[in-house]
Amino acid sequence: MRLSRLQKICLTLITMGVLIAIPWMTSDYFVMMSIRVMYFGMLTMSLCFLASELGLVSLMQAGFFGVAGYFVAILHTRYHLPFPLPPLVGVTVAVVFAGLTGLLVIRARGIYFLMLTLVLGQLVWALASQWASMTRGDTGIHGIYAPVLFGISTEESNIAFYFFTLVFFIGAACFLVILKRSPFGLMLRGVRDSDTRMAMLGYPVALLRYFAFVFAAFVAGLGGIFFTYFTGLINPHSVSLTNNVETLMAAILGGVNTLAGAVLGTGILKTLDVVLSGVTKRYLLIMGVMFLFVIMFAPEGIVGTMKKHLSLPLYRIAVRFGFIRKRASSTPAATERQFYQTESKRR
Amino acid sequence: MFKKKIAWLFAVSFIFNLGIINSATAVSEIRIGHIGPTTGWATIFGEGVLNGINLALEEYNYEFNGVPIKVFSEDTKADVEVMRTKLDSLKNRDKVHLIIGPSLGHEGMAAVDWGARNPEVPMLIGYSAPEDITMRNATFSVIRPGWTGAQVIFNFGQFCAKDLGYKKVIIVGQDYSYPWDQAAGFIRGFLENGGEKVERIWHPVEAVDFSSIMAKLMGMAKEYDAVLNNSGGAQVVAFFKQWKQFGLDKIYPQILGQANVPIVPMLTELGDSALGVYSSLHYYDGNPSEANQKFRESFNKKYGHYPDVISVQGYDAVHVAFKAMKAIDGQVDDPQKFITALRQVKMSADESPRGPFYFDKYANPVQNIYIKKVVKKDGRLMNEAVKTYQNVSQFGPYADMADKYMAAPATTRDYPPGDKASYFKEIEKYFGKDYVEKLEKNKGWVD
Amino acid sequence: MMGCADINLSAKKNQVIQFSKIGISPPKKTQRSSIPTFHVCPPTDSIAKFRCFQFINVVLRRYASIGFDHVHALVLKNVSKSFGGIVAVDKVDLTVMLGESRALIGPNGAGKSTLFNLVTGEISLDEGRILLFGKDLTHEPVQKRIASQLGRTYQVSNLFSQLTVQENLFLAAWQKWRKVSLTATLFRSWRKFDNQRRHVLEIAHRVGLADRLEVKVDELSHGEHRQLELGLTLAHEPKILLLDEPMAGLSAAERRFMTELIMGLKPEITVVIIEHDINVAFSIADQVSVLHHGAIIAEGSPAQIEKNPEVQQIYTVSRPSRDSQHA
Repeated sequence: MRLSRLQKICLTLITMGVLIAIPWMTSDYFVMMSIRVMYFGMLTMSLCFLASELGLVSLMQAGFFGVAGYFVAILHTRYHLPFPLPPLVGVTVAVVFAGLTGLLVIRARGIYFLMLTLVLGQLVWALASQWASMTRGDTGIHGIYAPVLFGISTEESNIAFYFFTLVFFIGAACFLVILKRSPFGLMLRGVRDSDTRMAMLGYPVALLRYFAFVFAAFVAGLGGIFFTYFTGLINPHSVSLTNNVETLMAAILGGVNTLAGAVLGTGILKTLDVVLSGVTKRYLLIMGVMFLFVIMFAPEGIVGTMKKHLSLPLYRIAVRFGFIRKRASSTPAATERQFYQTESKRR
Repeated sequence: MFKKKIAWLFAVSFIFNLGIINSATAVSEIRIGHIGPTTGWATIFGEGVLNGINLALEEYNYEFNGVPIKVFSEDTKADVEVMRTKLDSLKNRDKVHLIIGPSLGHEGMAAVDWGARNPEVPMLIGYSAPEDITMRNATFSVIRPGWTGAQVIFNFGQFCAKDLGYKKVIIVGQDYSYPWDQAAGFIRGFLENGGEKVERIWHPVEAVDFSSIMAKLMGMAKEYDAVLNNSGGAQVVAFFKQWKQFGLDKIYPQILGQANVPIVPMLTELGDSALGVYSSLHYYDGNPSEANQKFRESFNKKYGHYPDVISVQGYDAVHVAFKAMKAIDGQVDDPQKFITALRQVKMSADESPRGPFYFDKYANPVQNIYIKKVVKKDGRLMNEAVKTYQNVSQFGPYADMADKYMAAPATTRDYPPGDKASYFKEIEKYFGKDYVEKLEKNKGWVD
Repeated sequence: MMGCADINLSAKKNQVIQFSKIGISPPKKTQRSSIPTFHVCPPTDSIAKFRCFQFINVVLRRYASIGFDHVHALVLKNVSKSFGGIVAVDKVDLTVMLGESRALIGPNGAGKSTLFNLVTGEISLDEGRILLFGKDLTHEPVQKRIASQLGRTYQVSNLFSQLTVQENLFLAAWQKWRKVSLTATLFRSWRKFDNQRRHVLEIAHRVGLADRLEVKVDELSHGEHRQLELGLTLAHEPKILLLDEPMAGLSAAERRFMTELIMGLKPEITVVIIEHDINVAFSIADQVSVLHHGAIIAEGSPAQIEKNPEVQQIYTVSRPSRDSQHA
């Protein structure tokens, strides 16, 4: 189902409009939830990127998330660096950290990759909780205040912080989408499907994995920055296994193969967390049952399943109402013609 | 001209009056938020406080001067990020007038950070014990009708050194900040009152196999006089069990416990092996006061088991809130007034199960600390007070040098130092020579 | 054009069937390289000597318009490999000339696929040396060997199963275009690389998959898998092709199509093919080597091999029936 350029632009504009209108259309509470979904969404997206493009499930994405956050916290509260520096250093350190750990984990695959990242993730957690002179142990670091941008304090105004996050959230999402569509993304999927063949075709398989790992860490680190600024504190829980597993659950819920699934899964999980816990104390049970259902009946997650079952009816509806031109069936001749047509147009 | 001014004055005062009238009648419902872990490993802390709150509110029939009271309870899952969200939703969605909670150490620290950003919501901290909540990070809107980790254990160190006569003690505990603080408080009281050395052994938080530690303790028995268990929950049970299995109960005197080792739910799990355990706290369940007996019996009637100190926090918090509301005639929608009133509350011995207390200028209670011992009474294990230290503030013996105390480095797993010589070097650096000389002259603290 | 061979045989399947109507035996092999050549065996015992030889060759070609055309494409010297105690490849000497088609035949477990793996570097060898276009690649990693334009297909299709045919071919072809800047590689949609996609389309034509471009590999038939397998290898324009049972599990019609496809390759491409079906092998190959228990027992033209009594003996014992399928 491909849309024309005009339709794409229209859709983008509508989406942007809705996103921009959220703070004025909805309550303060909704804005707060949106911010949470955005920063956790970045974390989940980084996990989904690795899972879908490389077929690797990482249990240390929260580690990068937390490393960036901790650096912001330490630079902010201890060294009082001015605004753009702590987040810049934070993300850089997360990327460098990924660069180092990547060397260790990148040759492992499947369950071994899972185990290695689990160990490294726990290492970060142990460091955060035991190196008390730097991280203040389990108490965590407090008193981090969000910066003032263009004369508006994002600390005091949730709306300002919303837009601050939104810009980077969209940036991160676009970054990953573009990577996915590029030859690089294609190569990663090639590695996922058959790394022996990729090696046989002459690709540096390890290097490709390594790059993907580092890019994912970059996005996770970005999420960590906003997490730290928004909550104003960071403690070892943010790098704990619980956080890693929750990220994975959000990814499974939404669908690992798409970034939209990552965001949707995060949104549902984080919202249910708050809403259900207000209704009943047994909400973990309800969530457990929900997961069971998702894994049994929609193993591709919510977005994956919707895509599978709804795309055809939606496509038909769209054709019926003239939103989309119906394409000629893709006979070889037609495919070829289309290809050369676009060719000649470009020239 | 003059008339115009008069008219203005009238107008202004009228609006002002209107405002007051409005505020007095505006509260149609008093909303109290509770926050704490009510699921997961820390459930007993959140549930305990919540049970205390509900019990106390039942005594008042869920109303104040005819205004109904509603409780909104939110689960933190022991995660501070979730807690912040829940605090925001209590404030923005439920528009609560008062928040009671949280109950865990790191939650308390995060809550006071939130409190500093949202000074318009009064908050009564539940069971959280880090001293910085009401010390270095203290903020006007956050009041703690509870305790700090060090506050309750300073005197225990003193008691062990002076009354029990121990010279060298080993502390075995979980490796995170709450036990570190406990150890630090104990070391101060112990070394400044004649103790010579404290050795700290840390084990992973989730460890349940202590055989290597037991073997180590066996080897250390020649030099050291006693062992203080500085863990919580399942680790305590496992420790006590293996202590017997290794026969250490024949080598050492009974284990000493940190503040919440022999609390009520633990006693039922430990059974007779807990008999004779010394510890210290600002509440003991065997307190014969009328307030405590009433609290215990009505709690037992409602929930089917006897309460522990955790529930006391929730129970006391509600009573503190009611006393403050009485003082301001129920105007809970004026946060500044409400907070000021809360900070001025003084509880008497027949109002709180724990005994009398009042708040210091950082809003932490000045209260009695009991050295307690586990005994068997009517076939049930119970804590009895063997010594009471009255009106102990969170700074303990350093109440008159609070600034110096706060300027000293934060405690870590091996700070302050555990041997006498280097410890005294440290306190000389932070509390001055006079203090050290005074200690030496008095042979410790003056009771 | 992208420097591809002319498409002699159209890839349309219906034409294949017509072809089969004309005659069973495939057409006579096209005459390879038309340049007058000196049949010279270059020295392969030392690198230095070979380099000298190559240098002379280049100089002669440039300045005298003559040259030693038939240099060796692939030379195996005394190559051995054993797994545990079992000797899979036993002191094999093999020399394949440039532009030659060489068939490796032999019963199951003769060490044919192992030999391929040794050449591509997927398995490291125990002893001996491997020279590819005169370069000693014995200890080089796989990528280096690929750079010498080695291509191989697998006995069991090794494809990117979740990707479409087009994406598969694009990945294979992309290697040729690595000079594209890093930024473009990372941030430009792969669908916008027109040159590459045109190349992909051509390859798809050649292997008869032009109408299946947007189909996921998972959904293709077995025959199409084999075609794509070959397509992947062709896409990065190798100078030497190692085909590991390209016909395994194909129907008779598909087999003929495949045979024609292989024979229609550019004449300069050296082909080494493992094939169980002796008839197919003999029709494709100029030279045949027979492997048995890891060692080469006979070498020669198809006609010679057919007469070789030793080979006959092996094949009377273990020769597979003509139409049996080896998956």
